[in-house]
Amino acid sequence: MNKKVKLAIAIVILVLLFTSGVLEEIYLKNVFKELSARVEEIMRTGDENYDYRAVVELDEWWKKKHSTLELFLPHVQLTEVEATIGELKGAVAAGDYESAAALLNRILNSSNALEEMFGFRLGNIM
Amino acid sequence: MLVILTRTVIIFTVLLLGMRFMGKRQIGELQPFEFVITLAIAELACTPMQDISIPIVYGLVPLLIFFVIHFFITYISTHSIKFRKLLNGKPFIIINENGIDIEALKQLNMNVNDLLESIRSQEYFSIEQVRFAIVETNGNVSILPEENARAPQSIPVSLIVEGKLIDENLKMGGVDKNKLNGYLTAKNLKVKDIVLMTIEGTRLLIQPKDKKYVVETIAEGAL
Repeated sequence: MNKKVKLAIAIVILVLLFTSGVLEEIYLKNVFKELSARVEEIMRTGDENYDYRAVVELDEWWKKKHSTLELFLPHVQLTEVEATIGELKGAVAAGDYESAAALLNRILNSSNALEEMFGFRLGNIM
Repeated sequence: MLVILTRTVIIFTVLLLGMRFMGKRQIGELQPFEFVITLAIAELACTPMQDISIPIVYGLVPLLIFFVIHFFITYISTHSIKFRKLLNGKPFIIINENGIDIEALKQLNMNVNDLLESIRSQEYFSIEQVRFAIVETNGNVSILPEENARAPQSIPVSLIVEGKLIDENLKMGGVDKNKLNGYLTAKNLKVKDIVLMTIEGTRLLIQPKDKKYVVETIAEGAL
């Protein structure tokens, strides 16, 4: 392989990796921001009034995002969020709003924690 | 199973392309930084192959980065001798016209036994047979043989190595300790000042510190 061709390939790979990294960072921030916003929206309706349809929408939205997120996040953590949303659906459907409140908080915390855990920051580099 | 199979094929292909990109080198000729890369690559490739909960990019991205780093390091090394020296170090002459250069060995964290082993692996059983020995930057030892040097008829036994008497070898070489000490005193030599002393039958080789080595034939039973 010609040296100039190799140099070009090396530069292209570097640029692609860097760009992908930046885009991934932006995408993750946006997804977890939206997840938090959706959960907070559901929580805002009050303890006795969690909207089942909103929870189902959340679940469908998360399933779509999950399939993209699993390209670059460990599947275990993503599956945990999905399982919690599933539990939340069950709790709201059964009218168990106390459990639903706890689960909503759990999803919110998981969202913030995942954003921190996989974001580009010194703590994660070290 | 199919997931593992597919990941294995992908990672293998990337590895193959990457090694092709890095260029042809035998494993024994790797520079230190290349050895590091080779070790790390092996580990990086295995983990996403076996654990499907880890995204494949967690293996592919570091691999690609390593290949790119290797390329740029090699590229810069080609154009800069200073950088090459900084990265790979420089070759060291460990045997010269005077024999073993003990200071060079110390700088390389090598000892005389390592040196003898290196030259033996290239079928030189005595330092008499070696005019120059160089430790290359990849750790290999290159030897310029001494022309017309006498090849040992049996394996020389080391009696003194780096200033220490090797008691078990005295027995092997049929040498009496007191006679040996007497011999050294007569030559105005101290054990601690001798880098290497070997015996092969009646043939003695003495390599003092900072002096050329000496080869003597002694009388049978003298030691």
